[in-house]
Amino acid sequence: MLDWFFLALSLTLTVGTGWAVLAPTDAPLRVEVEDARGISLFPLDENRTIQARGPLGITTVEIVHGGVFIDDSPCTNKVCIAMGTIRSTGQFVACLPNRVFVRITGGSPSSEALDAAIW
Amino acid sequence: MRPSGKPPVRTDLVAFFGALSLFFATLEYLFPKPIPFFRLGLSNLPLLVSLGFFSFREQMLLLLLKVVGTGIVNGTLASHVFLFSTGATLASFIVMYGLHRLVPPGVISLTGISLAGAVASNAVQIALAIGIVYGPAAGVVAPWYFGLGTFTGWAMGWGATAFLKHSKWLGRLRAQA
Repeated sequence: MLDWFFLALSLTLTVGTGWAVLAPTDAPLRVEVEDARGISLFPLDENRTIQARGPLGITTVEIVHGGVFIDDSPCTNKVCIAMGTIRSTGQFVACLPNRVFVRITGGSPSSEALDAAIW
Repeated sequence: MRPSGKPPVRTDLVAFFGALSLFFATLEYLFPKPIPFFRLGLSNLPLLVSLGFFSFREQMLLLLLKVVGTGIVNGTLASHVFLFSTGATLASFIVMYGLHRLVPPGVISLTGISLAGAVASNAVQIALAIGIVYGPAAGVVAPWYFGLGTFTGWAMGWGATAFLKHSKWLGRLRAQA
């Protein structure tokens, strides 16, 4: 049956893109913020506040004690704030209306990240 | 006198299915979104169940009602979200309609068709996000979209199959087609 073919295709795409995003690297853990100005990189182990610029205004990104979260954003639904704090490589938070992407790159995926992927 | 040839478009029935689609799109707000803009695809249910008895022109009209209607209801008609919605809906419709017309029912079920539509929809959304709207960083949502899309595509197909099996109203519509 073609049903199984499409199920296999969908699962393959999930695993393939997951591997591409979560593939381990030797690079140190860092925070990648993409906004209207381009991509900016920040160390994960230094507390700081980042003002990301988008079409709606400023999205405030906080790096605190090895975690990253969106503290404030001018979007309507605030899904980005509700996404909470990320701490492991491959995880991301994003404010799509304001076109701001924040993700952690480098290092190896932790067991916490794998749990999140299974959920 | 109506000229012979193509059967007339049943606008009242298409409008009803369009309204159902909008209703389901609104119902989606009841469910929390694990990732931004991810949709369960409830509003695709009317498209899915009508594959068996709507003509191509009726399906296209329903598609237009769904895309523009949800854009108006959700307030996204003039934003980039509308581009995502249109691209994804069009891609999934082409795949689902093509499979339904070209592949015999014994080879693929409505669940498989729904799953194929979900794959097409998510692939187009990710491609649009990376290529046009957000840039390469948007690729991080890909595994989530495909993973959750596998589950929701399967579930929507299962729901549509169960509805087609048990609904007498739909049974009458299909018999008339």
